[in-house]
Amino acid sequence: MHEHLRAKSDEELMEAYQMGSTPAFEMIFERHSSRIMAFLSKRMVQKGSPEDTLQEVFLKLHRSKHLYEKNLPFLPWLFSITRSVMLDSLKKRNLEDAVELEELDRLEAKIPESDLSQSPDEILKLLPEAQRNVVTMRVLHEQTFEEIASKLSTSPENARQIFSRGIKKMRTAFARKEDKDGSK
Amino acid sequence: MDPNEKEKWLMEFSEFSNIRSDESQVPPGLFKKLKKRLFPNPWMVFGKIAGIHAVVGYLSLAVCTQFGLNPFETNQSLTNWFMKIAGHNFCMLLCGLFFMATTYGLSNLFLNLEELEAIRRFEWLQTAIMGLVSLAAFYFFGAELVGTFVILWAIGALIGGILSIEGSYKLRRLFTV
Repeated sequence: MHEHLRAKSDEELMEAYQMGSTPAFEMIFERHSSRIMAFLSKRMVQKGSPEDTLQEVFLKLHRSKHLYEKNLPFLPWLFSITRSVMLDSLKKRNLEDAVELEELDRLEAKIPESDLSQSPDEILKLLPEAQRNVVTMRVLHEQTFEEIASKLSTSPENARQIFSRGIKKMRTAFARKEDKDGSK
Repeated sequence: MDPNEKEKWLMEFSEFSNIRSDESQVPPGLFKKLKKRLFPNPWMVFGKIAGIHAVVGYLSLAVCTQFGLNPFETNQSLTNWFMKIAGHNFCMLLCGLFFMATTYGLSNLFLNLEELEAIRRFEWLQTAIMGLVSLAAFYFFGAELVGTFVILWAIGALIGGILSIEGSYKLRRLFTV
């Protein structure tokens, strides 16, 4: 690694990178890749691969480098790129999950409302705490995923995912119960 | 940006800027993979473009014959038109320019932005080599290469090659984010 680059600020490195310096890019990667990786890993739990998204972030940085203005601080610019790539990736992932979500809606419809209203505690007891909280907020208190997410300090996508898992678990329990009732 | 979104952005940015560099490990090998993708070897790209250029260049002889080479035995050629409007010397310049600008330009369409950047770093050298290789191929297939005409053709080819690289790069940049 070129030692003289270590003393340079991010903004100076970006300027060098804009002029075509590959070592400047290497230094930017060395300084910020772990930070981006940590941020992505927190936000993309079970939602795509943070490693792939990290690559996409640097690809976008590379392709947008001519748009960077050297008198502006680098970190917010890098964060904007990271955030936008992450949101695109989550959106794409959500589209891929659309089929699964449609299935989820059908499953929700299958659960008799009377079961949910008559003995919610009993049914909810089947779920782990996180899923129980999300399902309660969504089904009984009719909150949106955005509201749930802000209460749990997570993303709406993650809240949806937890809800999805909870509903699936409940459906399995219902299916077992129906089988038992049928065999009696 | 709406105020809620702005607040969320600021909150996330504060979290982002407070992350310590030892909080997460980037998998080893990822940087190498990324570097290969962002900075492809210019000579590997040159090899790829040369292959495509050979095919497209050969097909272009159907539209514009070069140094009398007419493998498709067409009656109409842009060469006749160039000759009529500008005379023999200028025709050679235009033929070189047309050959490299169109065929090299079309070949560039098969490259991604990063590959075009790699080519661009050595555009003069690579265009000159591509021009000379094209002339050698013409000679091999029986073209009669005469001194002044070859020089004029080569100048035209150099201009055409540079124009095509720059044009392809700028066009691609417009449509790639």
